[in-house]
Amino acid sequence: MLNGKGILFDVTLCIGCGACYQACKEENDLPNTNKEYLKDHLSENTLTIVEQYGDKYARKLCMHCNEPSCVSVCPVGSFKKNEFGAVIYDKNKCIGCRYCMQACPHKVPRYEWGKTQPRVRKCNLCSKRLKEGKLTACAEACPTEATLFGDMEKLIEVANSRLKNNPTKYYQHIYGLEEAGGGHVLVISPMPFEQLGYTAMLPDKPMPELTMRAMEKIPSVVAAGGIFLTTMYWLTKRKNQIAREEKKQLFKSENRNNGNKYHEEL
Amino acid sequence: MVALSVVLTFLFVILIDMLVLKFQGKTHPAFENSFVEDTVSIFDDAKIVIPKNMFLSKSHIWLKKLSKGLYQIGIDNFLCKSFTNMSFNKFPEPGNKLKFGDALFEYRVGNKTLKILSPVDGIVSSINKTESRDKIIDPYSQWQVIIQAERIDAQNNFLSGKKAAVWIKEEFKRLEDFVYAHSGNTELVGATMYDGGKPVESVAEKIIENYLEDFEKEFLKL
Amino acid sequence: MKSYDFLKPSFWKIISAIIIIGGLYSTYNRFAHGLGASTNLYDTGPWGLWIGFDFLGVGLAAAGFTIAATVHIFNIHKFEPIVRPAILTAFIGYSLVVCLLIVDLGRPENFWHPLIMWNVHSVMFEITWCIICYSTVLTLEFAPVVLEKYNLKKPIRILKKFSIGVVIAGVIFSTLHQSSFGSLYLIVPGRLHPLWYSSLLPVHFFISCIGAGLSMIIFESFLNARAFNTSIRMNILSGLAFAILIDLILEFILKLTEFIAAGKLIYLTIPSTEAYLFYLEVFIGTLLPVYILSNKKLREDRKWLFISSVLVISGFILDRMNVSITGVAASSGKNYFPSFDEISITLMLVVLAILAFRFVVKNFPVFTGEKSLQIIGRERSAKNSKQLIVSE
Repeated sequence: MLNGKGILFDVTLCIGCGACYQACKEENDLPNTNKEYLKDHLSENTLTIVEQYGDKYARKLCMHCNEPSCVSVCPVGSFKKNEFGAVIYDKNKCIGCRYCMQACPHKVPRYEWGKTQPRVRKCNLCSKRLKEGKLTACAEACPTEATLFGDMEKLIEVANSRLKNNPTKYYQHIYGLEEAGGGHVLVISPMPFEQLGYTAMLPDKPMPELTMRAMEKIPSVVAAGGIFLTTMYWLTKRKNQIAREEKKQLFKSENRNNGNKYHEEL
Repeated sequence: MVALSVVLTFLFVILIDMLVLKFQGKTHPAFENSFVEDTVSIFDDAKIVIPKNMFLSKSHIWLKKLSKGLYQIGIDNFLCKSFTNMSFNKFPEPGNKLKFGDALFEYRVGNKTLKILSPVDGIVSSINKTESRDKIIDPYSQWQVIIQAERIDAQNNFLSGKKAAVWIKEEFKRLEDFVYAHSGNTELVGATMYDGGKPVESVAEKIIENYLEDFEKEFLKL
Repeated sequence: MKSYDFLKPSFWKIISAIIIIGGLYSTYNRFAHGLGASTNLYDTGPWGLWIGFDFLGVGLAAAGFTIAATVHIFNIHKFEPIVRPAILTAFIGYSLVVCLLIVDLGRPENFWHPLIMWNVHSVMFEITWCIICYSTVLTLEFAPVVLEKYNLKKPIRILKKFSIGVVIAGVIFSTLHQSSFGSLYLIVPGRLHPLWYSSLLPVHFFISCIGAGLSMIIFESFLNARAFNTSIRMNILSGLAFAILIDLILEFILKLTEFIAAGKLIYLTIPSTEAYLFYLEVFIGTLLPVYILSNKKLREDRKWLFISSVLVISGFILDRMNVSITGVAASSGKNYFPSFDEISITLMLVVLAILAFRFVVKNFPVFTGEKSLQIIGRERSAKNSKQLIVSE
């Protein structure tokens, strides 16, 4: 069902070494932003982070949704999904309305606030590397295979079998498979996902559907509105016209009939 | 918090403006005391005294009972006030039969005519030739026609007493609306009619004259 | 001598000058140093005061299409004298919105991209196009006023031929984008507080903009009267007030049924900043004006009419600001308050809008009825007669 490449992140395997964080910075030529990588936040210079929750570590990055909000909301189509399933951004189209940042259910896109010609920044699933047939930088760097890169079908298979084989070890849910219509980044963990800072309570349906329901009605509003207004205009105008003509008619005929008589009397 | 700040700024500016006005010794137009003048009527002396025993019809004429079946007819102060330079055009012939809704008499306004409709069925008994008809000073004492009416449906078509006064007041208000509504067309009227909140009477009249058909439709229907 | 009148200092002129100077400095700051240096916007709260004011500008300009439709399509000519002020308001409101958008866009030099780069799934794209089309409509609708001044009759005649089509198109464009401002938030159910989030947001936005737009016309009539000593046409304004009353009641009923149907009443009982502001919004913007306006006597009293229009506008400001700022504050995890530059640019644009309105009203026949009042007065007193010259 799901084609393309993706990432499976297994919280149970992550040791919080930050190799993925560092690899991402190197791959994307980003400056260092925090001495303690575990306390860093997503920003225009940090496209993935490792967060610490007790003795567990959770990675955050763009979820590369199947039906991404950002692709749907961008007025100029700066975002699109490429052949790998990654959501990529074209800075040349962007007008900087930042609707993508407002709309993203995972609150991922970041902005270059400090620049006069800012870009939206987020993970692009190392699309350049993928084209060369390589893994993503983070998956390549991961020493424990907590971040696994591969075909989506395979990843789902792996995730399902891990959940099945270790029902006590894993919380029985694959985060990212259904959330907001699902995407190309999956997470499995030993505990409920909201405890690891993932956005919980997301609907299973793709978010753009919410907008589509309203947008669908536009053609009918235009058609119905046009017909209604034209009819109303025509009706009210006609009504006035008829009334005026009737008056005229009445006036004329009576003038002809009685006019002379009255004048004599005067 | 931002929402609240924006609203408070908006209200604050209004408040400051009030204070500025006060400092300048002016009042904000919303708090002037001219409300009563504005809404009662635009016409100066539209204070209405409708004599007793008079019935007003929706076509703006009055009826006064002389004896059984015999009625004096004249125009009411609303019509009188709407036009100052009108003249009578046609009168019915004594002995003529009139039906409800027929033209009782006609006005000439400018170069157009205006029909005043009869609110009763009846026979014209006599017309008033003695008084100079074109100059009406007291509309309720200057009668125009005496009619022998077969039947007067006083409850449905006529108003009297307080009801009549209220109705006339409302008619004046409607006339004001009418004048306002038609004043938008600048091509026709050119300059306008406001003078300290009151339309200048003669301009109002000009507007009515220009939209005589509409006026007839609005105000002279039975 | 007379043309230098505007140089005479007065309280508001000085304030305006200060605001404009501050705003110009902030504008320089914004374009020279970027959004980060000039605003308090941040990654999880990317929209702030400017977007909020875009909502306000467009909403308060709504009378442009409602009045045009009432007069030209439904042929209710009573309201004809306020068509021009309404269209001018809309025109200036939209200009304000466009200026703010350009300031707010991260890449303002790319503002024309939606013209050639289409994404028909985007609400923002639809809004952009509707605003472009509607601005064109407004220009066409207002053109006769300018042409009239220079006595160009032929173009007016040509425009008149298309006028009904233009009005109808304007009503449709307005309906679409007024409601689409609500649709913008449909995609963020997790972000916008449930007190405001609703699948009916577009409908709410549409209904509330009508009442607010009409209130704006009332408010403006008073401003105009205050500035130029002209009269207030109570008959027309009371008529508007009645329309506002119906609109507010409709809005309230819709909100109430929606709250009951969606089981959102519970949120009203949880004390929070959001709930308080929501109460304030409903109380100021809906309940209080409904109470005032439902009384016919108060509706015809200029004082109460003015007060209720201020209330409706305030409620509307609260509503839009709540949707765009208060409602998303909790989910963005930071408390946003606009920076000096954000505030001063906004103030400057508002002041410029007011000045533009004043300028046009002063120089073009907008408030047709009242414009020539002074002339008439002068003529009358000069001739001291009741005869009035009805000039061309």
